[in-house]
Amino acid sequence: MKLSEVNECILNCTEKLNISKDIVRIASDKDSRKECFNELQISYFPAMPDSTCEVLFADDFSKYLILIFSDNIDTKEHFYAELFKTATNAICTFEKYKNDLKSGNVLLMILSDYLNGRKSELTLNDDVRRLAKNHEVTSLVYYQTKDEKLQNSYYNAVRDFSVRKSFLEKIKAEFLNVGIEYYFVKGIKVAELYPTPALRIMGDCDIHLHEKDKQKAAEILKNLGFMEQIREGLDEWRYLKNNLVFELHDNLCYEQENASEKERNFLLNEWKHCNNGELENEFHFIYLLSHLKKHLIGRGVGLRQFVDLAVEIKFGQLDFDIVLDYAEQAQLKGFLLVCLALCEKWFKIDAPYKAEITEEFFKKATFVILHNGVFGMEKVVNEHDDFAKQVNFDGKIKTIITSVFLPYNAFVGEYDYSWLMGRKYLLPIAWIVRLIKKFTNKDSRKKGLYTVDKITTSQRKVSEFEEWGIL
Amino acid sequence: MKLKYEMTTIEIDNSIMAVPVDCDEKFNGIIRMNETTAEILELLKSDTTEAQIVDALLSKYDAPKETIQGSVKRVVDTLRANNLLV
Repeated sequence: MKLSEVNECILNCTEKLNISKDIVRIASDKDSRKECFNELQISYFPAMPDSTCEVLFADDFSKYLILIFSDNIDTKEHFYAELFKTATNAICTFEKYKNDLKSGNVLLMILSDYLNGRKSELTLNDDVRRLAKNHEVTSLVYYQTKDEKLQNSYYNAVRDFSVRKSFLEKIKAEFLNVGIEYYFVKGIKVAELYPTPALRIMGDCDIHLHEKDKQKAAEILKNLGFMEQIREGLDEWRYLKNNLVFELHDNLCYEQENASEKERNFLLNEWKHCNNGELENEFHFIYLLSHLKKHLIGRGVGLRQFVDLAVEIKFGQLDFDIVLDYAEQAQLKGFLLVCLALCEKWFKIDAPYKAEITEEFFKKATFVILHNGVFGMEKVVNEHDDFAKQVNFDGKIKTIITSVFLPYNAFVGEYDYSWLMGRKYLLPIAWIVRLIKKFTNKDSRKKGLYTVDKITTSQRKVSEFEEWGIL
Repeated sequence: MKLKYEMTTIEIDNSIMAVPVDCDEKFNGIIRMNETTAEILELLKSDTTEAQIVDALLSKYDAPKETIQGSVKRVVDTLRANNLLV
């Protein structure tokens, strides 16, 4: 296909979709693609797609661009069809993101009003309601706005809270009877600090106890009519009754699979920070932070987790010198300061310490969190997390080494290495082949580019983590 | 008669609500109420009669007996209709 034909297609498409031709760029290889990104100041970009076209947004959401890989283009008709489809989808997505950002700001204002004891004089639309639902703050939004469409969620939260509270009293009394030491974390603990504890929606209640007491606690829950739900490979024990879910944990760390060694060692001191069934507020704050970090790196977090932090900051009577000291010990100081800065900006609360964050990072962080939902319901930016996490915690060189020098078992089932089966002594040759393939894969250009781009994207994720103060 | 389920009461945003704890799936809601209804519910936690509830309220409130009787009947009828009394 000739370049003139490509241009003709672009012109037709942009005219039909009423978008400016000036924002369309053509990229035939990785370098020209990067140039486009630089020119349009795009800081986040996913791996190269298999399709003929891709559409991405600039950071300020003011423009979008379409990149076309001339290598993949065969006929003019095919190209035009692909271009039109991709551009149409992109425009819809772009409009949705723009709306979400607008609705997100309304949601943030409502949450800020809640935290600061102000009435919210705002009218909601469906986008704000959807975002509130994704971020599990519908009951707070109803409380502030009395929006009829969120009324059910409000009453459900009140009902769940009342039932949960009643069972908790029974559980606490039983634990006391048989001498079980315990403490609560996350939702159930932080809810007590909310101006309206009943409105902190939670999926489950986390009870921490010593391993030796787990069986006794399980019996108590079963006697109260809870049904045990065994989940293979998971350390927590789960108990269900109507809408209630209780989880028994004997360790604060096993859920924190991405925690650094210092973070783990800090959290392992949990019982030293516990007194009469109450975890020290400052220690719990660090745990919330660690948990938030885990989800941020993983599936993503939503506003509810940040509202929790804001509630702790505003109502938790925290000694921030202790918090800072603990954060240092747990290697979370950078992340703590960034989170404090974000909470201050989003919810208009006073944070005693905070990082200096740029307006650009603030915008990006707002966008990422708004689109993540509570636990990454809308995965916009997290698609390369596994790889990024690996780079993050293992280091780039180690990542490349471990992805090449795989153990024998890892090759089982790979067609390209079927010659290795039963010949373990050929493993060094498999490594050499893998190493060569990794850097010189010319047969599958797209796949090769994808790998290179995946690394670039992950490097970008690493720099994003740096901005978040995680690294 | 008395309440079929254990009820817990919560006051939030200037309204009082009662929530049955440990109830079956037939009633999976909450009861919004005023202070008088809250008192009637409190009295219904132990075995009682409509007449005993009326007497208890009469001794507390300066209202005509018919008015109190009417209120108690309304609450009891509603609870009965929702299978919340035994």
